[in-house]
Amino acid sequence: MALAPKKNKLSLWQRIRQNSLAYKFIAPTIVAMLVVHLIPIVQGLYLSLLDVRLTTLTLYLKAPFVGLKYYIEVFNAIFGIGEDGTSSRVTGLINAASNTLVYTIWTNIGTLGVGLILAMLLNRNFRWRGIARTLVLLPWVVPTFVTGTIFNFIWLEQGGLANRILLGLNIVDTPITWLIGPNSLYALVIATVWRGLPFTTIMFLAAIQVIPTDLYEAASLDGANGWQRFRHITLPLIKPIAATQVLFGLINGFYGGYNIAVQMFGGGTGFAGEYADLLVPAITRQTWERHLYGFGSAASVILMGMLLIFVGIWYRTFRDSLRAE
Amino acid sequence: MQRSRRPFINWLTLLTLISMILVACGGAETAPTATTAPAATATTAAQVEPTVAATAETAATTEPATAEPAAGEVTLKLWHMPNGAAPADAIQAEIDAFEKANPGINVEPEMLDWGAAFQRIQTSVQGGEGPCLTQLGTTWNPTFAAMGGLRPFTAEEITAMGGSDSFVAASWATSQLQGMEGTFSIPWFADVRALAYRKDLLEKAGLKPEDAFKDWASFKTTLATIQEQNPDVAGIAFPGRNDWNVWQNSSMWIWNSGGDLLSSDLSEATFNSDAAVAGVSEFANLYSSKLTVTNTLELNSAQVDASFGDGRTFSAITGPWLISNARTAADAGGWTNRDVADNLAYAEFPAGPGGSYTFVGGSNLAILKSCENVEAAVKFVQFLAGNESQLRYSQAIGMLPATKTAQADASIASDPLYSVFISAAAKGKTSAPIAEWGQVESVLNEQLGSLWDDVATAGGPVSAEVVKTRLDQAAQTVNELLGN
Repeated sequence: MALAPKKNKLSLWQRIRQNSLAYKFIAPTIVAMLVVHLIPIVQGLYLSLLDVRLTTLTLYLKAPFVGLKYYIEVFNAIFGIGEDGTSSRVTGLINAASNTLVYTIWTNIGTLGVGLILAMLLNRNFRWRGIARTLVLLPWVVPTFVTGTIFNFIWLEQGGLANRILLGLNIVDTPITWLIGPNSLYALVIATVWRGLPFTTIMFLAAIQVIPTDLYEAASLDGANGWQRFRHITLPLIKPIAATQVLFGLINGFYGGYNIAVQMFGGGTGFAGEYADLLVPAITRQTWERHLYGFGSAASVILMGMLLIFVGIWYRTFRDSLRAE
Repeated sequence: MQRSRRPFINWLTLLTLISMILVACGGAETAPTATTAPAATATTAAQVEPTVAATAETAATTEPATAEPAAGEVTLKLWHMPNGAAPADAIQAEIDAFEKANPGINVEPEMLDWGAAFQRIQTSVQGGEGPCLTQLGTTWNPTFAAMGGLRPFTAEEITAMGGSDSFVAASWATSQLQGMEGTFSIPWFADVRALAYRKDLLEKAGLKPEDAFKDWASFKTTLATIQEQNPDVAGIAFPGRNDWNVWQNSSMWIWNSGGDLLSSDLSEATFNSDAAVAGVSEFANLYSSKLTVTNTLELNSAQVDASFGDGRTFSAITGPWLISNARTAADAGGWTNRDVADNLAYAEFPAGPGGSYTFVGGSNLAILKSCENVEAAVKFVQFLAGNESQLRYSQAIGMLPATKTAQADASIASDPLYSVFISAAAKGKTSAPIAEWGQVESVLNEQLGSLWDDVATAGGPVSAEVVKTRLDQAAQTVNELLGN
């Protein structure tokens, strides 16, 4: 009791001095983070107000100031508003935005749902559990570019692994076209879920393992069946972890998919077709290939804003379970 | 007690860090000498790759003076892309020959991936730092020239290379920029498209190449006949949406149909004209007429070449690089043990109502404005544009030389396979020399790529309206980007 108030009297500076060695250690990281994060963010924000195009690129931050012009253009393109409907310089953004939404929802359902099932299976006692746990981690060590390349081969209509399995098991009669047409978005979702599964599985497994077993024993004594135990013990107790996973899922869904899409479709062209074009690939392509750098910055800032709205909704939804932790 | 221990911990940390740095540096220094020293006895070991060790050894014994960087020596940095099957060996052979003839100039090559090259060059142009010399895709020349990043070649320098007339016209056109005087790059090699086909299957059908590939109608009849006679072989394969070549392959149908990509003053899109729509529809409906490999729309160039090599298709839209595949031994990754090797033949693209044209692309060599050793850089470009290097390098990478003299050389002109490309190149057309070309290409790839989605999901022929809608959308965007 006597010590606590004394400690509080130390000023911030004194506390820093007291832990000076620790601060010395993290100083390079802080400087590096400022250089690689903060400065580019500020530059990007400023760039979105400038008319940076092919002809003005060498001027960079000295390019003509155009204010919110690109923001209005992107808003028009996404929401189809404005005097002449959409600006045709910025094409396909509405389509990419809706694809991204579907992609985010499905990848989240996939990684969270399958991840939870896998975690519960891996939590059971069985003979090869150690090996199974290691194998589940395998997709995680595969770089996303490689994942895209591998799935390009898996989805091939002729001779691809997916169609071989489906035909072999007589699930389908004719090979499915995965890489072109409406199936391409699901081809992308499945590849992303495959790559994302290990992370969610491990997180859920860790969460399940810390649940005290006597809770389950008590519930069993009270006559609760397996589903009831899952519904009333496991689910509520892993909710904080699930909430964090949803946040990661949202961010990955909005910003992710680029590496896999670029390699799986297009061999580098970055265009997955109208059915599977996501926002980040679309913005990247239009920024770099069409040399609309100011527009690209504005579109990225808007994407960040959209994501913040979703993160806000997320926070409101899961606020209580996060506090409970 | 605590005070006296702290400096100790600080010192210990510092010491650990220093030792780690020293170990890291030491490792980097000792490793290469250990591995390369036995192979190359010369002191040039540092810059020698294992594959070129033998050449370096001879160079070192004949010219011991060049082994160490002496005063007055110049080092040129060259950025190049992975050209051909063994890109590092191919460029090193040219560098070795050049350095031997030009003591005092060292060329340091760095290979860039095609996907990353544009941005790397752009960044170096913008930042004013980078290599002296770089390879440019032919469509990139106008962009970097417009950014002011390239050092134009003088009239004297071009004359020393034989003048503009010594290059293939379509290739030379890619070194210019509309609205600005000057030659900003020098054509290095040409990538010419043609139709690769199996001559054994054509003979079996009793057809002659000059009739079989004469025009669109005869071409389609040929494909149908071949498919009928050989149920396991499809008529044609071409890269679909998932490839860089989407606009290039479609453009040949537009040109041959009598259309063009841009208006003659290059200020407006014309690829949505009636003739162009007819050409693209013709191309698209090869798929719905079931004359193609069933999965052709999802394939990229390499996969198309592979399906031709495997004998799954009678013909393919491709380039001269298959020649080296057919002539390379099977154990080196070639096709010599396959049916296709002895039966590879090429035909020019079938003529349409508007004539017969072929896409000509390839790569150019440019000197960046920031280059400090312009004189040496020009020498190297002149060397690479010379007859000896043109012949050797283009054959090593499976492309066509960019100069007429090299193309007329007996090793190419009298080769039954290469000669098709020479006459095709004479009818070559290419991208427009405008700064905005990259943007035009991007828009075209997007809409034509989406058209392949339409074709794949149509379940039958796509109507001209569908094609027109896609091309109209592309034209609207392109016109806005061109400032109309």
